[in-house]
Amino acid sequence: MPVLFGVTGAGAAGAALGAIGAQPPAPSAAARPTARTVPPNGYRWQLPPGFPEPVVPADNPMSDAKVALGRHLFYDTRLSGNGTFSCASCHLQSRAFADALPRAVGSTGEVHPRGSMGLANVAYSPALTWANPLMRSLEQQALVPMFGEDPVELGLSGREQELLQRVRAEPRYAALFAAAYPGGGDPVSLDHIVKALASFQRTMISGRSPYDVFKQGKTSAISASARRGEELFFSEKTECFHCHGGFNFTGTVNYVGKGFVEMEFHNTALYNVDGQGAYPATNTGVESITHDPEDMGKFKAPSLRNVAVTAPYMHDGSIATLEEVIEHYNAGGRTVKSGPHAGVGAESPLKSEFIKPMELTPQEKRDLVAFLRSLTDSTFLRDPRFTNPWRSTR
Amino acid sequence: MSFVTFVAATLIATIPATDSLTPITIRLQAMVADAPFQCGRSYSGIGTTGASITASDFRFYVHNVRLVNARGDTVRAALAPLAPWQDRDVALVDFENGTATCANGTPETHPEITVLAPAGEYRGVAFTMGVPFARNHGDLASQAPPLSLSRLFWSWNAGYKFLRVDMRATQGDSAATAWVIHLGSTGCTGAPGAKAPTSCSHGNRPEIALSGFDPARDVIVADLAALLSRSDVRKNQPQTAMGCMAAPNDADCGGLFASLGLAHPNATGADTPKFFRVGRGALTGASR
Repeated sequence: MPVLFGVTGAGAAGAALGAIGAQPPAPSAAARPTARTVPPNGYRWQLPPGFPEPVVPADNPMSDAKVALGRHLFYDTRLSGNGTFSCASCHLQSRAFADALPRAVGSTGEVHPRGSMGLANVAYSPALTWANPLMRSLEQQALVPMFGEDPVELGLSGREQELLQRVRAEPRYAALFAAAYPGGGDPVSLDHIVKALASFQRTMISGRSPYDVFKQGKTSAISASARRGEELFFSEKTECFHCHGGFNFTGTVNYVGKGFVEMEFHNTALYNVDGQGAYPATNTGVESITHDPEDMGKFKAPSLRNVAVTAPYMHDGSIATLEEVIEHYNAGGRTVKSGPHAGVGAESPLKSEFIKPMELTPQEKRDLVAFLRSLTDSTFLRDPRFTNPWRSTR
Repeated sequence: MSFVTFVAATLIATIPATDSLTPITIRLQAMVADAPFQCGRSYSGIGTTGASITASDFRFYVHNVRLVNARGDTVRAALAPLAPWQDRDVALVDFENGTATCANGTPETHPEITVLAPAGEYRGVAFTMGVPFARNHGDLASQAPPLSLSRLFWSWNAGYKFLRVDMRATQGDSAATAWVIHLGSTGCTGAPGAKAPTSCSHGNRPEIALSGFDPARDVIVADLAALLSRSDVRKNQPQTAMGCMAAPNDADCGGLFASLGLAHPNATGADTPKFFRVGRGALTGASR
């Protein structure tokens, strides 16, 4: 019996999480968390039923004022060098804060080697971006799109003073910054901007999909096909759950009381350009950070929540539809027939041990897709807490 | 310039010469072969093909400064806290002045390092290029200067660019190609729960030692022509960063690493001219 949800959540949260998956393992005495739903500073999360409390850095406690400021910054094109792009340009609420492009395009038109990642439940991720084990916090990660130059995303490198001047010049920010960072002095700083952005992103929590309703006991919330798909997803036949397990459908997860931080990166046999398992040289995954040959082609398994609205798929957007994603995994790896990336992924010596031919029937494939579609949380995609705050007044 | 002069004067006035430590200024000079470096100026005869380059950035960090005294003893030369250019751990050397092609840089320049060392005569200098490990992986957004410059953040690699030289290269009538040098630590790893990397397989901090250097008389020359002498700045190895972003698999790094005394699989020979050399006496015609 596989452990479907490796959750040792806090008190009532843990019990409810058990309802979402299979039986949660009993927390060990050492790892048993202290149950609390209201953090010491009084911030109240609006968590879906059964969701654990996100981990928040000690130097950036949550507050409603910081979240409000971060929301304004997230949608503000002042955060790009040429004033044309905001975070929201590549992270669209209607697409669970991913976008529809195979690979992201930055403010200067430069094409990113990878696609925009969805931000739903990013608060639970102890490793940000597709394949960077060094990227541990949203505060740290925000600097990459803002100041990165290879590739340019928002294009602010060398322009931090200009950014601060622009922000100071916007009348609405005076009150927003003062409320978020009380205590006197000029609250407008790069540090405060990234902390507010992180606080806002931590509120982007999605857990009210039909599947969640189903797991709370309403059997009819999802179709019979989706229910069969769920069984397949959590079966040894497909092994999907090994990398996409847990309440957030990813192995890379953390929360208050978890006891252990888990970060996972996997080679899913998308490429095998040299017969030795190599990925295209510009997109080698964790290997590009660690230089460890064992890390070739390893990428983070993203959360599958809202996956139906985040096409195209994979780190490089190289698979257009969920149906084709299922075909890739069903074959135990992708074969690229021609071109510079030609190779038989199924024969990669570096692929995850869980990537193997599945021999799914057409109906089983349809069932898996139906299950994945049941993870779409339509309330999240239009939640007024996450919409553009500038639009209503301008 | 006037601001820096003022700060330096204030520093020298306020740092007591206790234990006979005295502020000593180590002067540096950016050159391209025999010509002083300037933003926006084109220099010809660069690299293995004799290309022309125009640079748009030229800065680096140093730490662990030492001086060799008249007896041949190496003495520690502590960095003087001199905001915004240096604190006790690290100093920034800045040759770009924010004009012309360097518009994304800063107007201020800082072609010097100020250290506190025993008064006396010196005949050698040594330093480590880069940001020390203990300071290289902090929270970039909240660092004080000189670690507060976003152009020197290497955010995706969780650290700093120790050396940054950006340029465009041309040859004959060909279109300009971008070629950049971003040197920093790579291959960094950390435990899953750790906030920052705990080690890096490639520290990439060049150790520089120059003999026959008298800080009272000489300058340290940082020569782009020497740095690029074994590179073809008109070409970029396909499927790697343009120029060299310190990757071990990027052959474009080989000549640069050799010039800096760093190991690299593609390092050129021991006869590769060195980036740093001693400039005897005061150089003339140089815009410092």
